[in-house]
Amino acid sequence: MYPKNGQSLKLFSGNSQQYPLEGDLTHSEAGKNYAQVVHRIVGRIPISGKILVTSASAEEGKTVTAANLALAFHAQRIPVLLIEFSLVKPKFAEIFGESPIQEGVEDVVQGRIDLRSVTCRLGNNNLSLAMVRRPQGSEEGLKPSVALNQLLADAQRDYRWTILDGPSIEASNHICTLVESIGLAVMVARAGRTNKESFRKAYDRINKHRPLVLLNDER
Amino acid sequence: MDSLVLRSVSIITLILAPHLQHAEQAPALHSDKQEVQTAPEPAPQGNGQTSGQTTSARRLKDLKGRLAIQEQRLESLKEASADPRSAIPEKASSDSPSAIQLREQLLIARQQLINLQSRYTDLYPDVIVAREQVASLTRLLDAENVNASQHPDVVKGAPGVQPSNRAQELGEVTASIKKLQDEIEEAERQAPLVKMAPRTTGERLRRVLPNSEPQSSGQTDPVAGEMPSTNLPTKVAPVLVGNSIPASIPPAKSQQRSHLHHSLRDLGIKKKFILALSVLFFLASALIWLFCKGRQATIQDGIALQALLPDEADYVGCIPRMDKV
Repeated sequence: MYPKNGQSLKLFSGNSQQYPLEGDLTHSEAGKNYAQVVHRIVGRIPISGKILVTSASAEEGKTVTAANLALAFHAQRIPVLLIEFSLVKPKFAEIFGESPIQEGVEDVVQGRIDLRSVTCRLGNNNLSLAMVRRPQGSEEGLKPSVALNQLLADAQRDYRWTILDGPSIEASNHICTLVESIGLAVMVARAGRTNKESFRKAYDRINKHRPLVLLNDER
Repeated sequence: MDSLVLRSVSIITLILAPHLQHAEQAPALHSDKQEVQTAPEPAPQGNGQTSGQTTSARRLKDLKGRLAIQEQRLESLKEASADPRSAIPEKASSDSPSAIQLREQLLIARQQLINLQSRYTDLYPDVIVAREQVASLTRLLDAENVNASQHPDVVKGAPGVQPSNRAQELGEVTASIKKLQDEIEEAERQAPLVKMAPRTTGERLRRVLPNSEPQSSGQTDPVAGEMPSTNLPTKVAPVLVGNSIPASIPPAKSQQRSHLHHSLRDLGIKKKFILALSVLFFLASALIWLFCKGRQATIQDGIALQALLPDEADYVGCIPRMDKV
């Protein structure tokens, strides 16, 4: 399951202490809740093996939720790859630090290189992740393509679960096709921030794929 | 409630201020007409209380002026009765009716000028007018004296040199003085508040409302920014304040009105304070309203989120807020 090519795996230390990452902390309240969510996802039939984390609009906690979910999977020793799919406003560099690899996910979705070439590991816990190196002007790279399908296939081949930190439903025109390609979406709402009306509209857009709904930041 | 009252009073005062100024200047310009008449009743003019104050103050001043004239007449009559040589042409000329009238007018005008000079500078329009009146009356009186000296027959034939007439006139003057003193006492008694404020009502209102400056330019106010206290002596240059209040009004009520006058003094500051408070209140209300509306519009908890979702939706739970390290 883990890539055999050791050259693509580079360890680096991130800056994750600036963000609330407790998905792998089983003694914390949030860690327990993430563990329960992992159980719900793993037990869901059919097993897709891929999860797109999205939200109705920006700044609702997609990236933090995706990272915590990946940590929760990783804490349960489930092989997982965290991929940054927000091409316009990538945030992994803020959370985990600059990637040691010169290429990024944007190069993979354009078919220039394969997924392994951009996969690296966090130095403190060996969590595998693929980051965007250069922010893009649009989310066009997420529209259905051979390269995108190849990326998803590579991820499924090497890892049991792949968590993709996607764009918000409001910001992307290709969200429906992306959810269709991936199979499972977790729609995140943020307590005290997510607008009811925009959430309802966003949910209606991907309703037919039966997304999971998660509320974070509850007080 | 108090602020409402103050606000309404300030609005009324703003409306009345131009009328007051006009009403204040008008009698000063025509004072000679009023003061030569015997005990003229001040005609109601202006609007409401403020114009009443002006006319009452003027009446009191008028009465005192007339008293001074009568006292001077009494003095001269006493001198004349004591000294038979008083029938000199100059004194005799004063017995002619027109000369007497002129002298009375001159005395009144001079007193008025002194009063005005104690309050205003020489550039104030009322002072200028009063000074011109004094000058013109002096000229007229001089001309009258010259005329009398040129026609001594007329002067010698003038009444008042006979002892019986003089005694009769002395009695009349004494009675007139007594009457005037009674009237002055009555007027002072009716005034609930007598202050040493060397100001007219219009001046006070202008100070309460700083924007309503007097229209005449070049005027300087020697005691600007100062307000007489109620504890000050009441017999120094009395000017009635609130003297349009009838004597039938009980003292408690008139005291209330005087408190209102005092509170009006700080109205300039209070208005700003009330305005600032209103703005703050409005902004706070708007913020609270926006906050409540925002809360209603956003998802606050898991229950609210589930209420939005259809029955078949897969709600996996909530993650509590995590503190950033």
